[in-house]
Amino acid sequence: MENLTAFKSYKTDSNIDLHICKNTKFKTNLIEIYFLLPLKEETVNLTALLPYVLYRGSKAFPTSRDYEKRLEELYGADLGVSVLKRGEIQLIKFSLELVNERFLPDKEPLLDKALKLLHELIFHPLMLTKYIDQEREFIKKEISSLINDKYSYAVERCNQEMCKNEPYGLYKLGSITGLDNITETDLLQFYQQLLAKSQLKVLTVGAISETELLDKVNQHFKFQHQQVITFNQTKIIDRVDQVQEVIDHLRVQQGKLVMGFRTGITRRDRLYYALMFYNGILGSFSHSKLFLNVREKASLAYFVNSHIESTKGLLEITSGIDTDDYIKARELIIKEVERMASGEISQNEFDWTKKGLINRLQSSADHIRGLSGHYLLGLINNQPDSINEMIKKLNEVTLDEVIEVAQRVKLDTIYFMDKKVEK
Amino acid sequence: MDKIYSDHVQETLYYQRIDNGLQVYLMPRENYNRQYAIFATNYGSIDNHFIDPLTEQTVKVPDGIAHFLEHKLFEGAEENAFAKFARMGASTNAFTNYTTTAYLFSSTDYFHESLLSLLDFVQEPYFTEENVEKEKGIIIQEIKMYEDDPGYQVFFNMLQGLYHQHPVKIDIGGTVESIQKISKDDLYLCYQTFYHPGNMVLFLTGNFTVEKTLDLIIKNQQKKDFTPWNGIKRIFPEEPLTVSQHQINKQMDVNQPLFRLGFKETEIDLPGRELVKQEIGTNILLDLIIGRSTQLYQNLYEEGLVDDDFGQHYVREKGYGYAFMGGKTKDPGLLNKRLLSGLYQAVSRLTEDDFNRILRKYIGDFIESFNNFEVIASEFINYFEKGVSYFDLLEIFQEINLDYLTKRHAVIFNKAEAVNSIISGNNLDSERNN
Repeated sequence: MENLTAFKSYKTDSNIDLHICKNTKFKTNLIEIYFLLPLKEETVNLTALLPYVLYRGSKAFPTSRDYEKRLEELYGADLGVSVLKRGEIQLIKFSLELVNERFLPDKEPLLDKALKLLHELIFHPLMLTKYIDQEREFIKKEISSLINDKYSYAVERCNQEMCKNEPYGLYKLGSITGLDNITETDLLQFYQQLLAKSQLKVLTVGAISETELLDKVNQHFKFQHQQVITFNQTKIIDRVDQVQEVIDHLRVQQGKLVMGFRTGITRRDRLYYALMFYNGILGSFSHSKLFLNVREKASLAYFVNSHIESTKGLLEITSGIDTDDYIKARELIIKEVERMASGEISQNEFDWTKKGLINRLQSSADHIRGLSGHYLLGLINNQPDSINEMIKKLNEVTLDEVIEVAQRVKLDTIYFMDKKVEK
Repeated sequence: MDKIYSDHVQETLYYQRIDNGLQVYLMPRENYNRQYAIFATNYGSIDNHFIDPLTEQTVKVPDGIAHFLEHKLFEGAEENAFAKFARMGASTNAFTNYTTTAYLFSSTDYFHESLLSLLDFVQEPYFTEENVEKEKGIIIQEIKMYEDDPGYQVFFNMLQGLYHQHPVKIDIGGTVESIQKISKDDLYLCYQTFYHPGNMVLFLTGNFTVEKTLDLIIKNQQKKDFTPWNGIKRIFPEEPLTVSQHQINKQMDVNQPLFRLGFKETEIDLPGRELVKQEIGTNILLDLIIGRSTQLYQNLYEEGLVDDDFGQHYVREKGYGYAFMGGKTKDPGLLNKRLLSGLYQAVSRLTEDDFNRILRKYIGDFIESFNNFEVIASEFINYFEKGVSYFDLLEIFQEINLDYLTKRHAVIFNKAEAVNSIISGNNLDSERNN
């Protein structure tokens, strides 16, 4: 099984980190290209805008429509252009997933064509003024429309308030005023700097020969490039002076509760695997304390979950509740967090969580994007463990370590989206 | 046991109908860690009016009951289904849509134990007055979650516009009022009517051996008593061909309006394979006239009338169908006008080249769907209930041509009336206080 989940790492002639997971079980091949940058005020807007402008047109594909036609010709290849935030790292991501020609009627090799398309997108953009202006407007609208999705908005508001003095509080797409201030020259300069100096990682999964792929990446991605920008400067804060409470009033039928915690533990830490247990026992399974006590026993919520952010060391509990139940639900959740800290964890909770976590990890190896997404998080945290290595480490976690984690987790911010009282 | 091999996807599907009527399909996959099973009944939110098999009386049940029943089947006399699966490290879930209720699990270990748990929890209902009452609070929060979701609301309102009578216009979850009326006895009545093995299908995929697994299922089913399968008499109201309302507006806290344009299908009475051809053909047609690679979409995008959330889709089930498109927009009225004129003109611009290119996309997407167990299982069940094997889709693609699409265009866009559904956010002023 090891050979199906492990990535092999290569360095290309142009200093690109190439990570290949050779795997015959999928019907498709996946290529992902990441540019990694530190998340900070000065560049957050440029990083957010650039990939969308690139996708608007290039020499060979002058409009997005030309790209779309090409993708359809390549048997409906999926091209993804996006901006991500992991800890205090901002990532530009281009991904292309396409059917392996073994399954196609005419067996035409698609990989070469896919790499050419990605090359065109990244190295020969048109960057017309109209493209820049239009995409700027789209992102601004995207930012102001975040409120359309009340759950995501609540999560973002909690992050924003909890980390208001840290880069993590910046939104991955930047801000409206920041985007307005970008000039064409700024964007062009930023683009050139990005190609010349940023960390560039290429991840691929599929039934592809490693040497052939390395050759092709060398051939298609030849440029002057030194990886000099340090991308991961994430600051980990593990103390909280005072818990803050933030309440917004909106026209909603249901209150959205988001509680933000500092764990101080990331993928780089000894206790990371114990933190996975902690999160599982508390709130990420249907046998978890939150599900059983807040949903099943008290009937207060349909969903009540906990999640970890493994690069910044945060934990978040989210729930949708009746606005009248705010205090009651908050107290019930805090009680369960306290029970964790006092070591009230049963053998069943521990064992079932271990099995559940292993099941999830093994399952992620069955998803082409699960494999790459998982490996990326390891890479950016300098812990590129394979799934089998992670399972081994999970098996070594003790109850005492989980309790140690529980005592380090501190509530920082309570965000509640309340019903607006109609005047 | 029968088997079919598909040369295109290089996979084999095994099939057996068990004596009690249950149909079992198995698609083993080598090199995968997981096993995935889905146990589904052809019973969804639209099946709210039927003949009680015991009394032979016509009954109409409260809205949202199929979904409520789905929640309650997880109960057990000693231990609920969540705990059973947690013990094995497997995860279980379920969903209810307009036509289907499905129960599923995903495992990487203890597959056979998990499979038996799935069969047993679905086939051993345990409803009490107390556990039925307790569920209401949870489901009310689920309903309210959707009430706050503008994407769901704009779609739901479009269905209100398209249909006069058909139960597809009823919310799958029901309403806060309707679910209050649901009793333990109602749940047993629906259970007895719709959960007979003759109305159900079991689909399994992943890393397992076919013979052993099938044997286990047969033995499990033989231990259980079922009455002979007599089918179900479902009652649907007469639905006019016209739409019910042309425009529906609602206000919510949104920054940009949400817009959907819907068209009602009027060619309804088709046999399974023709129905699926119509479904796929109309989706291809939509891609050809308003998909990402069209000039119309490109123009609307450059004018800032649509963004990359825009989408189009055609839904077709037994008894109803509709096409719809939309997304966020700064000007719903203008977008509606531009879409309507673009759609009507598009038919004269359909070319073989464009058609062949879109067809390649459908072939690629079909092959890609075999990567993902969740997708393949739900697609399989979806087509099974329409009377078509998912493996036959490639053949159906080949039966579609430009001539067929031109005829489809005339039916769906010219005869039918259009519905506009709009969510807008007047007076958006959220208050913030710390």
